[in-house]
This record gives sequence, structure tokens and C-alpha cells, in this order.
Amino acid sequence: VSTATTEVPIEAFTLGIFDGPHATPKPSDEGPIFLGIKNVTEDGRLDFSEIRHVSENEFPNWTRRVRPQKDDIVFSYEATLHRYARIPEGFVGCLGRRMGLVRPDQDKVDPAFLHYYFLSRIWRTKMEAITINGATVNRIPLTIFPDVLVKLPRLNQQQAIAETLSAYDDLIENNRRRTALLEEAARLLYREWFVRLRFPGHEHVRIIEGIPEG
Amino acid sequence: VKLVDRATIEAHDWSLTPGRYVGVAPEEPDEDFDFEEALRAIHIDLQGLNEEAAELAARISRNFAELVA
Repeated sequence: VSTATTEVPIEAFTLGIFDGPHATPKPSDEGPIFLGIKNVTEDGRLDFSEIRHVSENEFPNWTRRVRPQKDDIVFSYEATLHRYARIPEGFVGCLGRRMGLVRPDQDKVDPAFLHYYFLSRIWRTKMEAITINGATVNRIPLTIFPDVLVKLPRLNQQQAIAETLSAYDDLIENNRRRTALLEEAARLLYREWFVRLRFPGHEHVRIIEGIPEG
Repeated sequence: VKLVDRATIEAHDWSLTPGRYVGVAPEEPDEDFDFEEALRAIHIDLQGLNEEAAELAARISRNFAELVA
């Protein structure tokens, strides 16, 4: 396997590295997503089970520095560290507090590969080396972040690696969604048959005190 | 609070299931709920995911075959 022989700063693979807002918006019941650390799981997926929203009116104020787009990698740099997620198509939202963003230069790095790389032991070690351990929270200084040296494989190799790994992750995600749908279907069937008593053939059965005869 | 004596419990075959004595809360009727439609929507989604899963499984097998070839 041939790889690039020289180490180059991570910045060389990006179109930009951005910091999120240093404040929290007024709570809103709807609107774009204020993407916080809690929305990124340890294994690099987005978790939208609990969402903080930004009102449509205020949204422009929160995307002045950067507005996350497809294939950007967002990451946590303070408090809960080492969370990385890839922004999916159609995402509407802004960076939350303590969240940074890397915009990959897709002529040089495959976004899916970069995401896997950020989740790897080798990158984590590099981050741990520059982490500032504070009295209350730990922090990866964004001033140094762009200069961290990396040695990445060539683009076609990155793509092959990402393609192989993502098949597993996509199937896991697919199974997760199928499980949720099957559970929902079972719940619906149970209610229809045993709670509402509309089981197959119920038209021909007498219901006595809420219980089918026989 | 509902208290019952032993005779009542004996009459219920000694069952201590609370519902036997106080009944169960009736289900909130939701007449708008369309069971068939809801189940159909789930199965349409499932069908799409099943097809995607088959493709992914085939891709994983192909990749693995190349790996160990």
C-alpha cells in the first residue's frame, strides 16, 4: 500500500476549519437545529432524539461564521471531546456551543474517509496530545487544530477504504431503522387485535363484557 | 384506594392482579386512526429498507471475497 510519504497539516486537506457560536440561542419550539455535542454519538452518528431549535428569524445570526452543509465534519472541542459526525444531505441547522466544523477539500480528501480517520485511535492520540486539561473542562485549542500533522493515503485509496467500511455502517443503520419499524408494526397489530378487538373474523364473534366469546 | 376481603379474592381464584378488582382504564378511542393505512406506510418503508439491505449485504460479501481472495 503506497501512501503519501510526508506529513502535512490537516488544514491542507480542508477548505476551512470553523468555530461555532459562543452562546446559546433562545429556546424555540421549531426551526433549524442547534447542533450540540449531545446530538453526536461516540461512534460518530447524529442523534436527533433531543433537539434544540433556533427560530427561523434568528437563524442568520447563528450561521454568520459558517452554515453546515453536506459532507462537512462537525466535532466537539470542549468538555465532551472526540465526537465527530458527518453532515447529511438536507441538514438545516447551525453549530452548537463547543462545536467546530471541518470543510473537507474533496479534491484531496474523501469526507467519509476523513470522518473514519477522525474516529481512529491515531487521530485521537494526536488530539489527546494537544488537549488542554482545564479545571472544569478539557479543550482542544482550535488555534493549533489546523496545524496537526497527518499522513493520509491517496484519494483513490481513501475512497476504497471508506466504501468498504461504510457498507457495514450503512447496513447497521438500516437494521436499526428496520427494527424500529418492525416494533411499531407489532405494536399496531397488538392494539388492533387485542385492545380494539378488531382481529381477523371479529365480525362473527360476540363480545361479552369486553371479552370475545369462546 | 380499594380494599377487598379474602372471600372476594377467593372468588377471583386467588388472583392478585389489580385489574381483576378495579377493572382497567378504557382505551381512549381514536376514531381517526386508520390502522390499515398506518400498517401500509410501515410496510412500504420496510420494503425500501429490505432492498437497500440486500444491496449492502451483497456489497459486503463482494468486498470480503476480494479481501480473502
